[in-house]
Amino acid sequence: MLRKSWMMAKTEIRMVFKNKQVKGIPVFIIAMSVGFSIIFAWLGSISLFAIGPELEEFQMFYSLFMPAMMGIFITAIPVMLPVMIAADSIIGEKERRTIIPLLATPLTDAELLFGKMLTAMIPGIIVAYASFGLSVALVNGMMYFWAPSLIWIWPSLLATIQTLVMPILFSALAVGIMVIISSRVGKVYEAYQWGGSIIMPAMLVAFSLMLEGTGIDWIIFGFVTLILLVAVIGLFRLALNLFNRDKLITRL
Amino acid sequence: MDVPIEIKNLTKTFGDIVAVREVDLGVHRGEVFGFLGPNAAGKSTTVKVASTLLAPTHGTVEINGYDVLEEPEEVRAVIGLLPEDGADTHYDRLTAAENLEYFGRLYDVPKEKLENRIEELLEFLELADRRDNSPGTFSTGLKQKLSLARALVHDPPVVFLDEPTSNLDPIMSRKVRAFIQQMAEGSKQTYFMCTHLLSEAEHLCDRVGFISHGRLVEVGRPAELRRKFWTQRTFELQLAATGLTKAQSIIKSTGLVLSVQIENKRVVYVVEKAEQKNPEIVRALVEAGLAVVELRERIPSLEDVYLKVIGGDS
Ligand SMILES: Nc1ncnc2c1ncn2[C@@H]1O[C@H](COP(=O)(O)OP(=O)(O)OP(=O)(O)O)[C@@H](O)[C@H]1O
Ligand SMILES: [Mg+2]
Repeated sequence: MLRKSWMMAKTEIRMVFKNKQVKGIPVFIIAMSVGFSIIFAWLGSISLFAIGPELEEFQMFYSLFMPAMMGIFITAIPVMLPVMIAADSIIGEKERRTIIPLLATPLTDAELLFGKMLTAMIPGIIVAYASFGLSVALVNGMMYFWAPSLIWIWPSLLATIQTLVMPILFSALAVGIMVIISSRVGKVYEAYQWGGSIIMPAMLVAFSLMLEGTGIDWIIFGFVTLILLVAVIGLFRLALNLFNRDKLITRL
Repeated sequence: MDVPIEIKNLTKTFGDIVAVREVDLGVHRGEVFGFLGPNAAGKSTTVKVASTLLAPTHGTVEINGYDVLEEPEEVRAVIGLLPEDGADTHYDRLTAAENLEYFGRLYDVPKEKLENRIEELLEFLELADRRDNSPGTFSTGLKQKLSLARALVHDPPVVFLDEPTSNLDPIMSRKVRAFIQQMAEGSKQTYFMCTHLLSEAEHLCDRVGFISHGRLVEVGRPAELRRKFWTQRTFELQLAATGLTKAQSIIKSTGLVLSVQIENKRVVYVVEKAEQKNPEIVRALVEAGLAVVELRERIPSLEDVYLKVIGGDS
């Protein structure tokens, strides 16, 4: 099953990046994340020289400020990509009618959905990781010259784990949503609107990041991850149950 | 007998619309079956149900012994489909060859075999020089040819073609028809095709089925259907010299024909049981000293059959 889904995803990812609407998104996400991480790192550290209180207090301030500010760039913004890809590869295929011959191939429903999931997930993960990695390198590189006492305070272990886990869950969530709406929605722009609903759980994760250092951050993170995981599994199973060639085709 | 397409009591409704109504039909291995009928008769719907894209409302369809509802993956593995308006179902973000390759791999065609097959199809359909272009840049006919290649890329035993030669030029249409005939020969492949081109069905199809308002109204070989609907046959008679009116009155006086008249310097008569009556008519003419040069039957075309069955001429 994996082999076919993987083959499908490879071809589809190639196509995704020929789509003008989607093509620029990775650059946008990376630029936003990197740009703002530097701005926040600078803002968070500039007062170190301006006021000059105890170093420990500063490190404390910086360790709370950075995750709070960066949360949205680590979680919510990168989610755009999987949502757009999922919309394009599910609703877009329906809109362009290319889904008809695809549905006539011996792919099972699970293979098809899993392939679509990989299509949204892989670029989503690569871009999220790349923007996080670049931000981390640039922020800490800057601190090396600027404020060595603040090196490696950000990102925390928690922020790192969150960054690694979230794109996976959100890509899956995006595909689940698209499949579920696919029998009723026929236009990509409508699908984007539905895809926007994913911003809610993403905000929840961003919010949980703001609580970093309060002691309950790990608990919240664990809780949010668990909820997301359950949602993703539930949604995928629901999608698999709802996925129906007849309903998809009937409206074509 | 081996029946790779078996439709039993199939009904498909869309809300209040009954698109296909209690259709029973079996297509034999190696047969080219033509599905004919007016717009909205239910042809494409039947094809979609048989290719597992739509679920039957009632009844069953079995392809190579697999049920479309119970074993859809097995069904899909043994069929090739050229869908209705197949011309615009290609990935414009891939090249023509990549489109075929993608589908070949989804059908599990081994890599080397697939490469050969793609080249063969592109060559045959005269698409080879456009293989690296996006189908988005193709004319409608080129897209249609690519759809045909895609339906055949995995060399399926059962092929559904929904109006395969629409948009094809006459030479390419003929080529495709010859190809289909060749593939069906020796029972390698079974074809089920919807078409509005009656001459195409007449030359290509072993059997045809007429569907109207969702009901299968007639099935048979084109010649059989002709015989069934034309117990009265029409003959044209040409004479060496003048004497048309004389011939007309002689034929009339035999009392064997239903009608006789002169058209375009020929005597045209309608007769039942021609096998017995024609010799007598000719003898009467010869005995009257008339020289019969040619006696030819006016064979009704499949189009005439169609008009009679579907009732377009009423
Ligand atoms: N998805 C659908 N939803 C609602 N009604 C449909 C749908 N598809 C087909 N129909 C209806 O079912 C009937 C049969 O349609 P079908 O496409 O099978 O006709 P057809 O014989 O292929 O006609 P044509 O020669 O025009 O292609 C028509 O009345 C059509 O409007
Ligand atoms: Mg049709």
